Amino acid sequence: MRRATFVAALTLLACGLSPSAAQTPPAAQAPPAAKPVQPEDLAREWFIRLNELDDWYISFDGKEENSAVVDRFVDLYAEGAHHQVGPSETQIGAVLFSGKDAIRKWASDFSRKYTALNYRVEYKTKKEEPIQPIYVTVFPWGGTGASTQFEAIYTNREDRRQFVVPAAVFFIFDEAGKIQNLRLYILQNEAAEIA
Amino acid sequence: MTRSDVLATVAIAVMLSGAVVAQKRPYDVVMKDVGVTFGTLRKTLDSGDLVSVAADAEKLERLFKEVEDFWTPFKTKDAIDAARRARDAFTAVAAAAKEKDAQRARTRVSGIGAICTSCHGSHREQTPDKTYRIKP
Repeated sequence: MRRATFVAALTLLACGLSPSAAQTPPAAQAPPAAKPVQPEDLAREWFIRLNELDDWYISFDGKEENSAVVDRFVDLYAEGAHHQVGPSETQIGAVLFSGKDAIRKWASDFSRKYTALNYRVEYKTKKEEPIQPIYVTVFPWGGTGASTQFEAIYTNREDRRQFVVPAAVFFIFDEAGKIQNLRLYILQNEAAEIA
Repeated sequence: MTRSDVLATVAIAVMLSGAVVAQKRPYDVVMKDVGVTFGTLRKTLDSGDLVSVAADAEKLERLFKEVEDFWTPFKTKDAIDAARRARDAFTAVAAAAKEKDAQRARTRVSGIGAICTSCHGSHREQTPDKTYRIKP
């Protein structure tokens, strides 16, 4: 018994230390599959970059240096994307921005119009558990969608008045995770000024 | 050189000189000038040199016109209003100093710090290297 154990140990040792064993490359492993981009993560990233649109400065010679945050926001969109928002003081009815250049114009105007941006997904709470739900769908033709209710909190840059407004956003993402279509609803009739 | 050539040359020279005068100074230069001049004004007020106080107050009035001009294109109401309030205050300080009313000058100077603090709170941000940036 003792001899058998010794022989077995010797054999194992020999196998482990043999040059051929030492040089054997580890079994080729397939690279881990890239984790598919989750639409809720894409939607949350949109909120992060939207809120960063106020994160810029005026140069000492009076230039509004917002291009970096605007570019970062527009990078979330696919070429030829559509971005639709509600009416403004200069236009009646919904306003559709098509293509990155048009969306960049919207983002730049938005970043220069508002400050202290805090757009946040609305909490739902039950059984003492709060969550910020983002509703997700997978399209049969590829790509995903996401939507959520949120609160738009912002301060007018010109007069420094602060508001909170209920809102909703609907995203369609392509398979690369870029926004193909976005519809933003801001219920200005329900806006409340924060004193 | 014809007469019209002379007139054209003079016109161009006048336009260029206007452009040089109209050119704005960088905002940090203006603000540093404000800080230094306001410090001097307070010292001269303490020393009772009301002639110098009036001169400093008038300079600060002009400096805050530059501040107001900086913010006007952005229509940033609180900054524009702060610059105007500071200008008005320094106008009053200069007037009091010219009338040799040191007490009234001191009273008007004492309220100006609050205007500075309010505007800096909204529009000035210190960076890690202790320099400042202008928030919109």
